[in-house]
Order: sequence, then C-alpha cells, then structure tokens
Amino acid sequence: MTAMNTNAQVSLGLRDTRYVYADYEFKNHIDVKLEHSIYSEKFNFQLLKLYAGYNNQFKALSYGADAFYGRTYKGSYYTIGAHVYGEYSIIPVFAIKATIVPIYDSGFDYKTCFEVQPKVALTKEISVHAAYTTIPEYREFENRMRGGFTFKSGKLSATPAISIPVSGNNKYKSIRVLASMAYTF
Amino acid sequence: MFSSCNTDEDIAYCAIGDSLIARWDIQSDFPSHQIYNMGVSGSGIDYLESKQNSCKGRIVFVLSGTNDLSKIRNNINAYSDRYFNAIEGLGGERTYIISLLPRNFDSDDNDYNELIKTFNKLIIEQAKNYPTINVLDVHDSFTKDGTMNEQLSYDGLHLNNYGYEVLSSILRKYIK
Repeated sequence: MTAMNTNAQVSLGLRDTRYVYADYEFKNHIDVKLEHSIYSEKFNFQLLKLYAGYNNQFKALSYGADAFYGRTYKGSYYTIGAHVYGEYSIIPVFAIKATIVPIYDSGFDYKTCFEVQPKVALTKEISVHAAYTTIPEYREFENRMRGGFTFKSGKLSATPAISIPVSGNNKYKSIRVLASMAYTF
Repeated sequence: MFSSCNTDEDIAYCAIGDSLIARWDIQSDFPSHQIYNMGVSGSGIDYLESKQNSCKGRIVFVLSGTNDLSKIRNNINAYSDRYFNAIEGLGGERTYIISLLPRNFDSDDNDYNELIKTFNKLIIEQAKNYPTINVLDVHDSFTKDGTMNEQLSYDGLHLNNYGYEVLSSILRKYIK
C-alpha cells in the first residue's frame, strides 16, 4: 500500500501478472482492496478476493495487517487468511520487510507462511529487492526465491520480478516472470 | 453471482511421470486447481510401480515411458502390460495417459520415433480394456516432419513454454 498525506486515496494496479486490483485507503491508515484474478482459465474459475487492513508507521518501522477472503465464482474453493508485516529501515537506503501469513485454503488446508525481503534503494526512483517466500503465488504452498526492481515515477510504480522454486520436483527450473504495477490517483 | 461454496467441487488432480511432468509449472497453467506434481526426472515404470495407491480417488494424468524405450524395444507387449498394471495401481478415480511425445534428442537411436508411434497405438488399443483409463493421443500435436517440433522443445526431448502451452490447452478439456 502506498502511504500519502491525504485523507483518502485510490490505487489501481496489477499484482504478479495474474491479479488486478482496486485499493481504497482512508484516514491514512485503513484500506480495503478488491482483487480479481486474470488466470487463463474459464471465468467460473476466476478468483475474487477482498482485503481489509490497517497500516501505520513508528519512526523507522512501518507495520500493518490485513485480513482477506477469496473464492472462485464457481465456489470450487475458498481461501481465508491474513498478512501481518513490519518493514524496518536500518539505514535510509536499506530496509528489511518480514511478513507472516496464516492462510487456510479449502483444498490445501491450513499453513502459516512467511516472507523475508531485504530492499535496497539505488536511487530515489529505483530500488532492488530480493525475497525468500513460502506465500503461495497461486494456491500451492511452495518455497521460492524472488528478485526484482521497483521503478517509481510520480504516481506510477512498476515492479518486474522473477520467481524461482527452491524446493520440490521443479527446483530451480520453472522460473516465473512476474510483473506488478500500481497507479495512485 | 456465486454458486454455493461446495468444496467437494474442488477436485484434486495428480500429474505423475518423468521430467516432462516434473519440469511443468502446472500450477501456473491451472492456478485455481489443486494439482499435485509428482513428476520425477529420469523416472519410468519403476517409479510408477513404487507409487501404488498414491493417487487414490484423484483424477490422474500420466506422462511416462520415454525413458524406458530400450525396455519397450526389448518386449513391447510385456512392457505395456506392466505399464497398465502400474497405472491402474496408482488408484486414480479416472486416469488419463498422455501418449508418448515424439523426440529428437542428440543421443537418440534412429528407431525411437517409430517405437514411440507403435507403443502409442498399442496403449490406445489396450486402454479399451480399462473403463477408468483413457489415452490422450497428443503425439501429432508435437510432431513436425516425423519428429519433435523444435518450436515446442528446447532440446528435442523436454518441452519449452510453448510446448507446455500446447499440453495445457489439451488437458484443459479434462480439468474441470
């Protein structure tokens, strides 16, 4: 979520190539987000996901949490969970973000997932990030390394990234190229 | 807008076989589905036999055999019987055998593609004796000039992203 000094803001974006979303943040700290998948599957198998969350900042620590619920139009499965995260800027150009995600998927059952992500700001507009994550990119629980850049220009940001499995049968093989972007009005 | 949330509709699938399965990012092609990738690179009939009852009650896709071509050549009928026994033993509620793909790997013997075609014909016939097993004959979708279409494979054996798109589009009819 993008923090701003206005009382309310709307963002539209794309996450990991496969999800589009609209986010409404009000009172600077509370936001609701509606996300829709754009899978190459039949419409009934598209996933609609609703998030509601809170975020704030204390000195060099940004923190927040959200709860989410998602299901396919067909009702073939549902997912429910939360993100709890903190991002600490150790020095102005280096920060570490940690996220814990308790998640229940009606097919895959419950798991507590996490992600650890160091970030380095190369310039005011460009940062590079890497992550170790167990948070599912789709449904299946996987262990993956991710890396990419974030480019910011005014109200627009874009984040191309690659994602590599580090366990399982296709370890290091099935590399995903993912794109995210957001525009804040 | 939504139908009732009946999780029984979330059918679990297994994909089992050799590196053609193991290297497939099947979750990316079917993100809304519960599909277990049980592929193991270099595997063949021994691996299928070691996985008895591991797909019980699931819908199963099998792509295996290209690493066993010397065994197939030795005794194609005996191998085919063993193949069906192993596949039936996986315990799938319904099983789709994906026919062997053509190949054009550097170290391949000259007769491999003929052997693959013969084996595919044999398993299509033999599957008629198994009410829960079907063969998806995808061979021609990957063939150009009698061998693996180089546009769909990066080494004549393993599929590239375009090859997996072809495979996904065929399987999409059976993943509901």
